[in-house]
Amino acid sequence: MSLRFAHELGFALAMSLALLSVLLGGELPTELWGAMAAPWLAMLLRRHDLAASTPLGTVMALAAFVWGGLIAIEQGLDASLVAAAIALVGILVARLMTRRTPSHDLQALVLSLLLVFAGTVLHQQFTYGLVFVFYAVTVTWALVTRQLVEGAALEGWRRGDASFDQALARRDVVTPTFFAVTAGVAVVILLATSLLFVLFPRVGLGGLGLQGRNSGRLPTSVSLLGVPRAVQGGSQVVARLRGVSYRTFLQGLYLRGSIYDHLDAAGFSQSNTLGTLRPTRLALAPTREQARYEVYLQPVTDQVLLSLGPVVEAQVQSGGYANPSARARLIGVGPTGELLSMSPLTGPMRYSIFGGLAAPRATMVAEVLTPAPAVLDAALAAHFLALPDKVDPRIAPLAQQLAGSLPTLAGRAEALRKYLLTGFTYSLDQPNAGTADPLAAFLFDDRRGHCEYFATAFAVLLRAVGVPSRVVGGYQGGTWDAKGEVVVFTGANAHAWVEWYAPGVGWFVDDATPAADGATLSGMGALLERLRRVWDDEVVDYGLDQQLELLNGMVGSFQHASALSTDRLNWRPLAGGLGALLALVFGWYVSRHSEARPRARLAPFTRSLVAALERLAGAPLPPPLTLREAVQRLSASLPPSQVATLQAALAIYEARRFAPGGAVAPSSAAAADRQLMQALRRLRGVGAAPTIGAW
Amino acid sequence: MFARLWNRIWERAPRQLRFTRAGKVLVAIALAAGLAAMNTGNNLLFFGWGMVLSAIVVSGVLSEATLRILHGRAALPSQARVAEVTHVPLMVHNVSRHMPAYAVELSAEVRLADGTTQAAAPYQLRIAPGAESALYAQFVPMKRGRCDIVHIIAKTAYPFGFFEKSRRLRAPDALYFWCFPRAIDVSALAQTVAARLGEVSVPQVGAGDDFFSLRPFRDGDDLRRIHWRRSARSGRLVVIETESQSGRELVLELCLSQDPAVHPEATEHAIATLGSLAEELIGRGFRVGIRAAGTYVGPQGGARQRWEILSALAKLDAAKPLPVVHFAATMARVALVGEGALAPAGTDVVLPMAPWVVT
Repeated sequence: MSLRFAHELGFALAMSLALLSVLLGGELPTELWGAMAAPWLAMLLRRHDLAASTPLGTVMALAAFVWGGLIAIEQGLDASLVAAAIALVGILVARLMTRRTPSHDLQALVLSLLLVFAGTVLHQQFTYGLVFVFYAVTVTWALVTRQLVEGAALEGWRRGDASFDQALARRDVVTPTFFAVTAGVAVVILLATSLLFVLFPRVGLGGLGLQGRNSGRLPTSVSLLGVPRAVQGGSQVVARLRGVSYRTFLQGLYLRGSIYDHLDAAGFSQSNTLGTLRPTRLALAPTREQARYEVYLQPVTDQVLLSLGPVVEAQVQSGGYANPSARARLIGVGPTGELLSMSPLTGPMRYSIFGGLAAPRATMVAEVLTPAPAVLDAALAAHFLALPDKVDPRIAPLAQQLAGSLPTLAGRAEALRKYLLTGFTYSLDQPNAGTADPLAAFLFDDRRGHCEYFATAFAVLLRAVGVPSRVVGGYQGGTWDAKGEVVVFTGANAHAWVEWYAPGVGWFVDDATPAADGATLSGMGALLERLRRVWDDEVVDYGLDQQLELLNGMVGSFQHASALSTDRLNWRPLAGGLGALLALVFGWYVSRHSEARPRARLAPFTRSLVAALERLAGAPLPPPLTLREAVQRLSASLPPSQVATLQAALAIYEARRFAPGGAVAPSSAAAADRQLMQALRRLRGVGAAPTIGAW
Repeated sequence: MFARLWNRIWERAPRQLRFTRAGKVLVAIALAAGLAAMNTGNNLLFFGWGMVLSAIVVSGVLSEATLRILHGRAALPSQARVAEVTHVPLMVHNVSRHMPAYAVELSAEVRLADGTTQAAAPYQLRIAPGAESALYAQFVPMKRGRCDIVHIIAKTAYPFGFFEKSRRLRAPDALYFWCFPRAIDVSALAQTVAARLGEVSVPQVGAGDDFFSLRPFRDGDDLRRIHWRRSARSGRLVVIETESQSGRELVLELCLSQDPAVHPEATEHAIATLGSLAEELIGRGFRVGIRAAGTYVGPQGGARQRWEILSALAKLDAAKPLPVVHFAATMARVALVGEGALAPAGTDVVLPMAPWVVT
């Protein structure tokens, strides 16, 4: 492989991985994926010695700046890092397109490093770890080859000839040894990185939490025209539950989040007027099933901590901030029964809850005998029975027709749920996009839609028959991982359902969306999830607590080992093994640093000459001294006959050592060699032979 | 004072480390990333930070490993002359059996009369394990005099180009040479001297006009040289040989003023003129000697004499007086008279140097 190709390939790979490190996070606009073509296009351009003009590059970079600036203005400070990353991607692409010299390559590599740093905030998933490892390998490769290319360029500039092109075309530089050395360097860097990661004390203040994550957050409204929340959420893990039995999982889990209580022409959204209502009338109804479970939650909500039902007791274990060593605090349970954090989440959080498991199955059992009240509390009715003026006039008669005559709330809810479950189909398509009233189109025309349609329709129909209702956003179902008995919720499990109110009892969870059965992880999916879990638990969530645990563990194991050694262990084999290891290391060191080492590789003839010289001088030949210099130094103090012998031997040695192509002694000269070697062996220090230190 | 002391210690250190611009940027990034990681506690930022720090450490280790496997030697240049490129032969040997050395720059640190300079050898992209390369380090001396090869320095920015580490491979023992004075075009001056002194026949075969001998014709001889009368008489072709024409024996005398007001460059120019004139006249067949401040080289011809004269001029101390010499009657004396000096008595030709103008 030529040096040029090796450099270009490593460079393009490193650039692509740097771009992936931010793009895979899903925070940046999808249009930026186009930047992935830039490294390869730049490689193609470089192959033909082409580059975009500098003004074009400047325009590209400025456009990226403007784009990022507009996003920062539009979304506020929270998006500052996203804006910076967009600008950075733009500058990188501009640099890639306009690069001409190895210095430009270095600038691009530094920019790529900054992108990887940005990725630490914008992309905290397991894939970042993979990208990071490959980036470390390829950036090492690219940096080393760039250094060689720059040296060749410098030499070409000095000599002003075609040596640069010749150097780039060389195929003896990037050899398997080169790859082995580079890979070794990358591995050493990664090991050192891991060591530093594990050992560096997490004693930071955590004062400046970088904001960046926006994707996967629960929406603040139930949109009938936007992207379905199950699609919007993506495939990233948002929560993990431990402590829930498999039986409970099979019955269906509803991880409850935001409450959408206000209905207007645009659909359900969150209102600010809940404080005017008495909290007891907003809380969930008590459930028969209760459990203690642990939740690992990504920052998909501001302050609401997801739970499976009414919370009796809760405790934060760790997290909540970007700094995993910091721990968020709880305010308590909010008016609608949700658990609240004191500050908005900026990092993954781990907390445990003891409380009820609210799910549609419990609704029927507890509420079947509750009669529909003649008159509701006025404030409650005004808030939770309100229907906007522009609601389709066919909806109320339909609701009355389906459930208006039924005496109990549960009966009405059941009738309406059955209507939706049996007559409608679930679809992530948007058949009603562009229609003036998507809800009416769903109920009367298309009869298919996603969970937000089902939840909105169910809540509206309930209100139309006098049952107070609200829509709830969260995650439903999940997947079961038998190893560790963990329920995993991803963005694809995002769901919206309904809660309706029974006076004197509370709010019941109900769901008219055709539910997907809970799946069990297996095969590659399970492996991937376990890797993700290790990443989240051991890397993203690694903090001072884990470091102290590690330290305690080390100290403990040392103490344990000491106790074992004094009581039971036989020291002899251990000492023998240690001694053998030390002997091996010592032997390696001696062979490495011994003066005799180079001599072992000498040809017999040269060995005789070196031995004669050392014998005459009475001292070993120091490595920097050439044989010619040694002979010259000794000649002054030796008789002419000995000098002649040495000169003859030196002439043969030099002819063989420095002849073009490394000439080998012909077989006919073997006899002469032997005679000369015998003469060399006979040389003894006579007369004024130099002493030790003569060299 | 401390800065000076530090510089002296640093210059004598066996290893030297210099940050490249990219290295400075990387260190700045490492500091910023470390600060951000500690402040935010973002674990992934610790990863990035760790990678940068590890790269810095590994870079230092690898550059050291590259330099440690190199052994180097220097030899004397064939000739060194003021304002001309001087080539110092260097031999570099990769003593490792397995590991190639990448991106190595070798140089010789040369102590000159006017300071120290680095003679850089061509960049070595790769030196294979066990291989030995012969290189020429180049530099341009700007002052005549003694040049000591103080150190051979191996330098590398391998592997990442963030830092440039250099190592003194070996301090050669008393490896020095003399830098000859600047070469000046003195062909017109030499023409004047040759015309004034004339040429004499030398008793050896050459291209002169005087008869030397006759010999049998050989293939390739000029037909015009055939001596027809003798050829007819002897019955075989015979050609005529003539004596060689050569310049006379002369001594170039350099007369310098001891006046401190004379610009040192004027003195150097006079010495350079003397050296160049001696070279030119030797080239024209003259037997040339020199007499200058504290130096006398008797008249001789040939390349060896050229070397002797230039070496003597390289070592010349202009402050010394002219040595006393008894000239043979056949020797012509040509005096180059510097600014503010007088020509000695008995000179055959006096060549005054133009007044030196500082520009």
